Amino acid sequence: MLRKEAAARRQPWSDTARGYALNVPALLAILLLVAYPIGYSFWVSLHRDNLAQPALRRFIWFDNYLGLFSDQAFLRSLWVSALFVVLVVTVTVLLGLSMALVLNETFMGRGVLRSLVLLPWAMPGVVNGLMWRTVFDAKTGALNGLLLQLGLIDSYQAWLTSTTGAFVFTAMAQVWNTLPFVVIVLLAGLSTIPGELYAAATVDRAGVFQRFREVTLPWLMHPLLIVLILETMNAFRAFDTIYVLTGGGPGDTTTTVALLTVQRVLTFTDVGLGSAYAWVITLITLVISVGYVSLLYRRGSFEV
Amino acid sequence: MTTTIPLKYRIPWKKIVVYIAAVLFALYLVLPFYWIVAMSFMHEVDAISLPPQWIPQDPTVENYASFVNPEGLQALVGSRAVEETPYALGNSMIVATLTALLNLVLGVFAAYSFSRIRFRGSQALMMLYLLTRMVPGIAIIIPFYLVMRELDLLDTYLALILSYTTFALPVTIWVLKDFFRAVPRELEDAARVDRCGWFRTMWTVVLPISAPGLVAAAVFSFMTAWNEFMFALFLTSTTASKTMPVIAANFATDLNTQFTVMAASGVLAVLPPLVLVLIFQRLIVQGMAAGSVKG
Amino acid sequence: MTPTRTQISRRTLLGAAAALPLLAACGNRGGSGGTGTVRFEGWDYEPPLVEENIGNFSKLHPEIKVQYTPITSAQYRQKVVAEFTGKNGPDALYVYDDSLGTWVQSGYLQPIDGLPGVDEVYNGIYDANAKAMTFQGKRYGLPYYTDCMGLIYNAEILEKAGISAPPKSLDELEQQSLKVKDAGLMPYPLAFAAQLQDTWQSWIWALVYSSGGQLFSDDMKPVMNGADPVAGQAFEWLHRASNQSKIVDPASLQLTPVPLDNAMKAGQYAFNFGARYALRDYNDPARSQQAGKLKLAPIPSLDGTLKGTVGTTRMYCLAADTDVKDQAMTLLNYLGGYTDGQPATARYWFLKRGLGFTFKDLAQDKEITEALAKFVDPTIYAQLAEVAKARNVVHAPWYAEFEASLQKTTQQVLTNQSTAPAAMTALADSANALAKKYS
Repeated sequence: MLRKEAAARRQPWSDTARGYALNVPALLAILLLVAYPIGYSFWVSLHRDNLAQPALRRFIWFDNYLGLFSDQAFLRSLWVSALFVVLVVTVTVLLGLSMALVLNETFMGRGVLRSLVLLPWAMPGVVNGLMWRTVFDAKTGALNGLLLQLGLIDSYQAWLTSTTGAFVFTAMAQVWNTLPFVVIVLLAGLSTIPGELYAAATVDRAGVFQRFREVTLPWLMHPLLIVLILETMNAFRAFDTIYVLTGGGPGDTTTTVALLTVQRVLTFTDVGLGSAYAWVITLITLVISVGYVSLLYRRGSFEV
Repeated sequence: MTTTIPLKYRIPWKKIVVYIAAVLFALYLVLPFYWIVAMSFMHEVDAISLPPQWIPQDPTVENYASFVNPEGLQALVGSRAVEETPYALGNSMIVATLTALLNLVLGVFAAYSFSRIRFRGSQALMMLYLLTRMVPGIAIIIPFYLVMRELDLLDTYLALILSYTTFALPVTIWVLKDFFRAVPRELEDAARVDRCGWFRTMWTVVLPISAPGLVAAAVFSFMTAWNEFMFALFLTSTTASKTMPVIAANFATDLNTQFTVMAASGVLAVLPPLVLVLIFQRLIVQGMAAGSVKG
Repeated sequence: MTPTRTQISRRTLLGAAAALPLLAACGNRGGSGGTGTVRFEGWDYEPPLVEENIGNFSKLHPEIKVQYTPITSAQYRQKVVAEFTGKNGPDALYVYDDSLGTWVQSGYLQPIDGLPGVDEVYNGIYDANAKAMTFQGKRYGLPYYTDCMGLIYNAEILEKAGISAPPKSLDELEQQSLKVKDAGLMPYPLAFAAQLQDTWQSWIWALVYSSGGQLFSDDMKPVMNGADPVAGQAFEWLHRASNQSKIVDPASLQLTPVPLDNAMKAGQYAFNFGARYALRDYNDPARSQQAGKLKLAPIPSLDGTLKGTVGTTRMYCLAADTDVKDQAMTLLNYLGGYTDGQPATARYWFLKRGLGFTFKDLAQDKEITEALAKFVDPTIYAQLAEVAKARNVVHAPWYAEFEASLQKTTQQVLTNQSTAPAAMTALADSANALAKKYS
């Protein structure tokens, strides 16, 4: 034992040294490019710092953060974001799961559908917003045309100008854009389930739903949690699509915290408070991730 | 289960449900995109006609032609976007491709270390990578701009490639590490018996087997770079580096060019990555199956 | 096809290592510094015409190189702020009167008092414009253009509905709109560009100013919820027009100015509130199906008498840290001042696109008056100019933030999420909170 350790020590590269050496390129890239901006933005968030008022710039400890508790616009946007995340994540996961289940069956045209499912992934958020704008358009939109021809509405509607309409349709546009990732991950999860399990369940005369609950779902827990983490983060930071589709309106119905942060920093040049907003987003993302991770831990299968 | 109908006469409910669902899903995925494709081949009058023309009655390619020859367009604002589209398309391709490659090069070594070497602090290091991803882009955009200005890289490909690499790298490492871990150790041991160094082992044994994972990771970083808007907006200013999302935002906010031209530019913005995912469709799903899912 | 510029030199790499911690502090200018080129930026209104005009400048001053970059209007302010923050700003640039105060206080711009040509220009322009370009007693800009708001109506549509004269009061506007609606000509005769945007929503201010109202007192205290009831009454009308009589197109919330222009030119609306210069485009047969039918009137007021309207001034400014001050000033004088005794660029823009001029002499210029008469009634055009006022709070540091909450509140009134009195209270609260925050 002792001799072995000595031998290891005599090697020119210990495992730890080798491990870090292999990480040098990636670490250099991350540290050089991101560490400084991240540190800087936290430092700025401790300042009163509006670019328009350089004379009033000063260090104020955590006042920006404390002020958030009475910042109505911020609290309201957090609420909008929370609703948005719940709606988008729920619909994405349910829709994605059912698509993955269908795609896991064998049927004619499965290959085609598996390719089609990737289509929305190829669409930049800004273009996604533009596309849905032409679909939801009040005057010439495809949705209006379709519903009218199907006899479901009597006249063209301005879908994005009612409060619920704007919120729900914006969420749906977001869902369409982020669906592929969910389907791929869940489909991948489904494909790892051994066929024998289903055969056994069928022999036991288990119904479709019973089989889903007892065989499929347990195997899907891990991919589902990955999807939940990443989709929650995504929906929480959704910006491009909303920016193009509604700009945050009507009123502040679709003003999410991400949108508000961008406006605070870039339009109002209030980098101090804006950075504080961004750090609250970071903190919430972190808490959500830790929540999911501890769920995974309890399932005994986790290692980052 | 008291039915007396013999098995072979049972209505194949499951098949029916699967086919109906498949058709509905296909429509859901395709129809919105089909609409802008159809519009991109219409004259402006037809695009805004009521009821909508689901199939262009008088198809035209003049919208696509206008990108090459924008003189024919009447535009007060936004005409710039039309002229800049071909350049932006090229820029996006270059930036996204190079980002994907740089990511793989940087990510492979780090991922290999996490999958094969037990070293002190490896968990903490992985967490550190993932942590950098949790800070929203807007928090770092101003300092990042300052860094790029100081390096004299504003309005160059490199500025975009570097920023997108930092976005995609943590996830790349995360995904790749699981792939490498899935490679049976015996194969590597065999290579080692043949006195291959770790680099040759990785190069000749681990990487080829992990091809689906590499593709999945590359596509992921390609998409990250292709889709990103805000950093592109600030780091670029001319056709030397403007990317498609920046141009698309021009169309959205300063729309004076026609709906149809905007639709055509949207189609162009989607086409290259779409071709990419279609080519690699099988590998992507396979890649995800072997990799991230097993955690 | 794509020009490549991925040069990474050794200097750059060394710089990367050395400079990181010092970034915020040091500020040598990138870009043109020292090469003598004037970097000139503007929002992207008609970039080809700007380029043509700069081409003319280069013929007069071949020794001065100008590098012109048009920037998307919707992101103009953010982009310029980012550039100045990165010490990478232009030497000369377009500035909205909305941004002047903020940008001066941020240290981006320098005063031009006493520089060649400036006094002549300020003597030759209207007082309102001179005032708009002056901040804390110093002059910062040479004029690009000025304009003010009016009611634009489609005379043919009104005629079809049996209406012979444009409305004078807001109630009349409502009744005429209902007539147009009832005649089956269109479901919503009136539209506004009410989508949230970073630039001002001129029509909201016009609605208040044309009835003689104010949102703020001259010492920038909110009056809309107390001392001055006019704004509240105007919003009351807006609430009724959009939620009871339903003459305002609900799609307004998705409209930005340019698509609204397109809809007017296509004859889709009978009325909108627009800037005077829009009529040059609206009545150009090459660009508009409705050419010749679109006319200008004062914006209807609560009691039907002409009380005012709102105007704006866009200007050219000089960056504070420019290395090529003399060259940039020569360019500025060409664009915003006199060339051979003539305000050449101002005349160019008017003749080409109808952009309003700030130079008093041009009002008597024969070529100008003839061109004007082709697209608008000169009497009303001049009448509006006389009563136009600038927003009295544009120079406040919190203006941009107030404008954002004004736009949101207006959307809430349009969609019946808020009543007019509640909207006025919300605006006053917002203004008070902002004043405190920025003090």
